[in-house]
Amino acid sequence: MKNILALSIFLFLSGCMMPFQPAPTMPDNLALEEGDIILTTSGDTVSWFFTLAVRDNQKKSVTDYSHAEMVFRNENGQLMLGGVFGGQVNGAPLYSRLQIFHKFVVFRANASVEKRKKAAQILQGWLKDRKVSEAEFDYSMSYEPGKRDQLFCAGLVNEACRIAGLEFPFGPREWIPNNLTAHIEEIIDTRLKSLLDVGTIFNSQDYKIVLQWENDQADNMRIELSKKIVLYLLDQYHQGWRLKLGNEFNLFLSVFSPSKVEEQFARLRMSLMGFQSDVFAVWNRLSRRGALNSIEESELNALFTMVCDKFREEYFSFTDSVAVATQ
Amino acid sequence: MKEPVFNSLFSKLNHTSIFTGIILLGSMVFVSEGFAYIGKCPFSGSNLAAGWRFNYSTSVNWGKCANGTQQGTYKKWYKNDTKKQVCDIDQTTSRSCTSTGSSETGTSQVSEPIQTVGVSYRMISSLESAIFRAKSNSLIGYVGGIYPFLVYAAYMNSCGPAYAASSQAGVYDAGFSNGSIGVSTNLSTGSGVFSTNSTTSSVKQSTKSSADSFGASTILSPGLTRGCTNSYYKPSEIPRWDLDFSLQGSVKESEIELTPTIGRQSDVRSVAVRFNGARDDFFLSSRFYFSSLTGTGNSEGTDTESIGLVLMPGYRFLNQNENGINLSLYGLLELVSNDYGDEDTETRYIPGIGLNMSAITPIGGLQLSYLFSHDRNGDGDEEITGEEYININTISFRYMMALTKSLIFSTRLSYLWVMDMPDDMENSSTDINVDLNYYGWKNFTVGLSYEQSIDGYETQGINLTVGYQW
Repeated sequence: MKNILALSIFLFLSGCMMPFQPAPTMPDNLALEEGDIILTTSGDTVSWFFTLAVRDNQKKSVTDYSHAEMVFRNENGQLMLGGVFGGQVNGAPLYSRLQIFHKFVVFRANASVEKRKKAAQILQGWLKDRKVSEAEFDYSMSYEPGKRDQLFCAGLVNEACRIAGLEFPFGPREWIPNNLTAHIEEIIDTRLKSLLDVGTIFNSQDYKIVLQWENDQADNMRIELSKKIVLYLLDQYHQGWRLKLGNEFNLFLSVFSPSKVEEQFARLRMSLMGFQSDVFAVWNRLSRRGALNSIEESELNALFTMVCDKFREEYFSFTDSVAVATQ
Repeated sequence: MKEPVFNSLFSKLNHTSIFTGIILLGSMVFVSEGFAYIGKCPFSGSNLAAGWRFNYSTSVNWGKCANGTQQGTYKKWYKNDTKKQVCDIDQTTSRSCTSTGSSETGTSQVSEPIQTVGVSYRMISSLESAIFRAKSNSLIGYVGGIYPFLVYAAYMNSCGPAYAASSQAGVYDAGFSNGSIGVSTNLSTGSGVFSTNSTTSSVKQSTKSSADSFGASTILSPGLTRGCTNSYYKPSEIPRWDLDFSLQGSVKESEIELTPTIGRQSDVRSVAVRFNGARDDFFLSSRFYFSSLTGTGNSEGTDTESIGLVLMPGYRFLNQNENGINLSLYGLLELVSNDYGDEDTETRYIPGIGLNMSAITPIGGLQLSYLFSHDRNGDGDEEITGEEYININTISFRYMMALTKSLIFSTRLSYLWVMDMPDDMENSSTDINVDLNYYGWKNFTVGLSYEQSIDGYETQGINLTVGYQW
């Protein structure tokens, strides 16, 4: 039961937040194979958080992709997409799952079919192994070979590839400690070490791109606003503000009795989602009333910041110690 | 020689109706205006009219103008004596900054709108057409048209004297009146040149309510600068209300059979003006409607017309989202007033409490709702159950699918169950609705709905709604 709550976990909702949109046009030749690795992004706030949070230059991300899953075949022979999503190791029919993303890119290992199939079979096996499928979420995002009690998306794919004898698709990223990572470390009570980066596969000689796709029905304005929300969030952390851990009653948390870390991340996410919801609502209102028509980009950004500022003290708190610590 | 079109129309007009309305739109401006409709208005039936309107109004404006600077204070805090700034506070920031380092205070020029008070007048002339329904000595209905008009204004405020002129076109005007009191709303769009004593600037085209079309917002208009930064809004001026207006018409067949002897078959036609508003967790839904029931079958000859008003304020006190699932709990109070003409009037109080759960899935949107409502007649009359109230449970399930980005299909299955009904009476009903809603043009929505009963009180018919979100 506890892991059901992982649905609400801050870090791994990417790929789970479904937009209400018409069915997109899918590629004609969706000839995917077992063991193919798919990088995805939903374009929502959590996706952008992963993409931008600990980059050296937050505004110029290496890649827009934030999440990784692997193609496997279930016992009925149906192609599925599996990985850590919905807070645990999960699988879903390939075609319908791919439609929810803003975009994806498919990588295939330069290795034998047998090895790729083996990686997929390992993933399929983990879905049935409750010890693995219900493992806790690994907030440290650092991959250690053989580690199964805590998992995250890129780490799970790396581990399946390692056992199958494939090269690691993902390597660690360089990152600079900041107020945000300090906040995360405080919550998980662990120092963050090396973070695994899904973007490193683009530089790998062992994997090649076989397909790229972008959703033609995606709400691009919402995606852009989600990115602005995350950039604002990062700016606030830089200035010494941090998201509040909302302390209001939450039915889901009450029912599922999460661990302290899970609850704190869930409450952090509630603050972010509440902040986003309020900002989006105002922005839509301004848009409907014509206030965003014919104004310069710089003015638009200034207005967006002002709208965010309006809700800042409701969802963020200022911590002097954080600001001092970074001087 | 061919008679001019308008002369031809005027020749058919035999009545002039004048009323004075008080427009209360927003907290910024009160406008008193009189306007005249020349139209065929024998005070019954539906009417078509076209005519000329001359409109003079005076506005008292207060608010903030977008121009001006004023002194601000700041205080900067430093970490010890390193002069590395930790944070600063200014007069608009309430947070405290308790660093142990040194601090520095000073003053700065802060560009922000200055409080102002002004008086203005406007003259509007327009050509318009109207469709309305009149009954008794009241005018109730819809008036719509396209109104090109000029606005002239002169006012004095704390920024100095100013005058302004603009051309605008109204696109919608709806109102109702009873005797001498009327309420009207108008949405217009336009552009023009506004001039103050020091600066002239073009005003960007925008869509505004009449309160905004001339009133405080004239002073606040973007681009109207006088040595100030282009401040579009201050945080306190960010709109917090979602508003929605709609016009709704429906044609239905209805058969309510409580017992073999108590029941009614009718053709029901109704038109309604709806207004919905929401701010944070508070919402208000209202509906002003006219309904005509023509008895059919065994009920033939028992025709009824009614005019009603529904006000329904409510509040969501739990609204949580997890993994794309939204859960909300809400309470509401529905107030219904029905006027059946010579027959009767009725007032009902219907408090209710509801639970709503919705989710977006790969196959579309799903929504499950439950509402318990306690329906009580304000006159204390006994209901058909023999009690002074009726308790009603409604459960519904809705499925939504986006056919395109602008076209949403949805279908709803709902089950209604009336508690404590006598054994020989029908106490439940099951209905299915199929809806198609279009959102593709500006802020307008068009919805077409088909309703069909599966079981219980039989109803079938269609419903057309045209709405505007603001």
